[in-house]
Amino acid sequence: MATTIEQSEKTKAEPELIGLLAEFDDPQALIDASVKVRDAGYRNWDTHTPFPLHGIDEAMGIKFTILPWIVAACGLTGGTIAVGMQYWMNAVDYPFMISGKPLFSLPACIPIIFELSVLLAAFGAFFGMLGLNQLPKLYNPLFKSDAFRRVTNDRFFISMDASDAKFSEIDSGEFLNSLNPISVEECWSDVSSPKLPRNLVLALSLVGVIMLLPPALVAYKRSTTTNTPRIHIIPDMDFQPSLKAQNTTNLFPDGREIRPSIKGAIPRGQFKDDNIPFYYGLKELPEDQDVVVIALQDEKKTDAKKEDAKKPADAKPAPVDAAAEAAKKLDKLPWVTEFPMPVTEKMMARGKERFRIYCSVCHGLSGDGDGLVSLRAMELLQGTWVKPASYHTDNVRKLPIGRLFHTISNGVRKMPGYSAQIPPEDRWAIVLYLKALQKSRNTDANTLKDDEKSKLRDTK
Amino acid sequence: MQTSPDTNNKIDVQTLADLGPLPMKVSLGCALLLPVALVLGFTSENGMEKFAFSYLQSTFFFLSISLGALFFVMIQQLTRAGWSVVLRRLSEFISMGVVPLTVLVLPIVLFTLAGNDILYQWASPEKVADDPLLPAKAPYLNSGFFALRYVIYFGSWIFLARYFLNKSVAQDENGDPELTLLMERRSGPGLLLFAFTISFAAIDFIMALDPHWFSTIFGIYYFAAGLVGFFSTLAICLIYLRSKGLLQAPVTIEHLHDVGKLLFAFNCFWAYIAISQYLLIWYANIPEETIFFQHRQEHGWGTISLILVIGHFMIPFVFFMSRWMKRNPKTLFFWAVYLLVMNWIDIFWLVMPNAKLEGVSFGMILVDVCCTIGVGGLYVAGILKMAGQKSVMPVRDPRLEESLKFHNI
Repeated sequence: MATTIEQSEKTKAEPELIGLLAEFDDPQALIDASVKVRDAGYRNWDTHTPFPLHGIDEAMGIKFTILPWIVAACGLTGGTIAVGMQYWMNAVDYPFMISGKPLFSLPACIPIIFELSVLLAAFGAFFGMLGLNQLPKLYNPLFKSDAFRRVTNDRFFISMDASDAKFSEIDSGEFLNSLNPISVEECWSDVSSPKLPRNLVLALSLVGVIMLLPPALVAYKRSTTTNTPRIHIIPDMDFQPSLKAQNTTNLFPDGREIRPSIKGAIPRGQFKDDNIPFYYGLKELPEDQDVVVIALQDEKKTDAKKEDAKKPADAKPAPVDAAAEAAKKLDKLPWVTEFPMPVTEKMMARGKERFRIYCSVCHGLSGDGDGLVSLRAMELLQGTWVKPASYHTDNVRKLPIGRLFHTISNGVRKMPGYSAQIPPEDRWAIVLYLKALQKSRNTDANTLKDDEKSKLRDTK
Repeated sequence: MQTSPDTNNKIDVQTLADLGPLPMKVSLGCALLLPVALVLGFTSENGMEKFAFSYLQSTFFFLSISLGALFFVMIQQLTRAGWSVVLRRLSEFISMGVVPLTVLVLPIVLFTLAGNDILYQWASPEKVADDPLLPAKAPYLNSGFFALRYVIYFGSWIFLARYFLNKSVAQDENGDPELTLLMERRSGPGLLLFAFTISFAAIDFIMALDPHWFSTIFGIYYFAAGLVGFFSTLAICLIYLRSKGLLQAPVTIEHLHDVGKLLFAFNCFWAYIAISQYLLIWYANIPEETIFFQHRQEHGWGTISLILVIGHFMIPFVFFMSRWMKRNPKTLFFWAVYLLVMNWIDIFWLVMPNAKLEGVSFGMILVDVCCTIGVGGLYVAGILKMAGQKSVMPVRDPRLEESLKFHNI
């Protein structure tokens, strides 16, 4: 039924006939009449009953609804979104290992697939039903008919829309009368739109004002301070009985809540012995595995003693003390001389970036040992500072890359180890950049290609 | 047909005996396959195992159908359902299948009582003594208590099935509506008893095949499987009986549609329970729990598991969902047979991997199929015998008229 909610007041249009309404007092009479209307070829018409009527669908020739297909499409969409969303979140955007499960695994997805499929299918069913029925409809011209009021009680109606191609005022009226209804009524369009009731306007305004209160309160609270403590809506979550790293407890004999890691435990992804060159810079681990660490500690100890060490770089101090022995021990280790990973442009760029972040503050941008921290420390003249090595000495140039990697990882003299801050592949990238820095100061001009030479000449 | 309860003496009383002697002959003929399975089993390698597990699987496959029927009968009474009255008597007949099954399961209990440990490791004192877990479970898992529980379970089911059938048949004679009210009142406690007995029976007879493993949802899993089996069987029986002229007018396409809906719904319920069991075990990843699924992913059992996931759930979910499939007797018949086979594979998958055999083999499936047909023959023969001259419809049920006029919107 065409509705006429909006009818311009100014035009004062003539009321138009928008349809006919036939009234029946028996469900069977309605069904019989519906069959005749259907067979007469009308399309824009409807029946109205107080309760669901068996057989009315067939009598009216209504085709089975397409709603199931809408629901199926929505459900499938939901399922697809659920799989895609979980794949993106868990495996791509924020990969996070949980109890050793694969990052993306179908069993874990099933609950969400189920939920989203059901949710979207329900939306499809609800809104699809509303859409197919052209609901919500606030007004229907049939409501103006007094007879039509009994449709919710004990009367049955056929309404015929004037927009139907077969509709004509006289023929259709006669046709409806031939179906033996109690009465046939004409429906006319409204020429004036009724005014909204005053109370409704008031109530709506009130609701509008009330709806503004919560956001206003939130805005107020967010922009002011208060002395009253916050309300704990869910205290179980705010005050959990779980143990925290820095607290004490009676639960364990050592009184700590944090538990020491179990002896021999290896953090995930930290098993190093399967790729010794990559993780240690050594071709193989020496039989005395502790030599790496011990040598380092000895070196540090001796450094602490002779704080006034003047010799720069990794040049081995000659004095006959433990430091020399430690250094010798390190010299003897089988350092790698080839990069244990493919060398690429990307790696060089990464090395440059990491070098500038971590190393240049002491070693200087070009590796001369004149970083800002070092300059300032020398200026303070406190005597405890050891000037960092310049890379451009023969002693440092001689060092195998494995040894450079080891120094970055574990430190030397005043320099701390950086293995905690810089992952191994980045440390190798820094080594690569460091070798490039060295080469930039120590290249035989004859080995350069012509274009490289001209580049050097032209660059200012 | 006169349908008023007051004068419904005029309704033609049809009985399963109207089918003639053929069904009885066929089922007794099928029963001959049981000794064949026995011989087949014993002449092959690990024959004792093959036959014993196949026998347990067959009996518990049919038991699941009868228990599903018993549940359906009671839930219809409890909810005062009107639509299902024309199907109820047939369900009552199927639920009476617990009587032949009690006899058929008895040998399993007797052998276990005699200390035979082919099926149940916990029945052997030596194995229990050698095991770290079983001595602790011995107060529950011992043959004496097992036999007692068998008596309680099957006793309860026979009592319930007979009670609801006899009261319903008595109403055929006197048309007393009080009997309906009585059955409604008794069905509540009856369902409670049913829920406990089916859960523990599934635990005792099937889950205890691997006495180390446990799953708290197992009883419901067996229940869900049983309902799929029952609604398949009911749909098959109805379509068959209608083709033979029984229940042709009273059972309309509307009733078949609803049986199809229930079959579809409980198939989804089965999948829901199955995934609930799988997901929790998968997530927790505790070795003593995952062994159940680990074993069922190896030695060829992985194929059976996949058949269940795809064949038992996905295919019917997509293709059996539509209204048209359930309202066409031919397609409904197809899906009912299909899901009954899937239910058989489901019970097969529950029971057979516990046999200490090297994976799935053709010989094992052959023995199992023969055994199932043999046990099925005795089961159907028993039901036909007990149905005897009883009407296939509760002809004087007060809600019969409602059921006859039942119509889906």
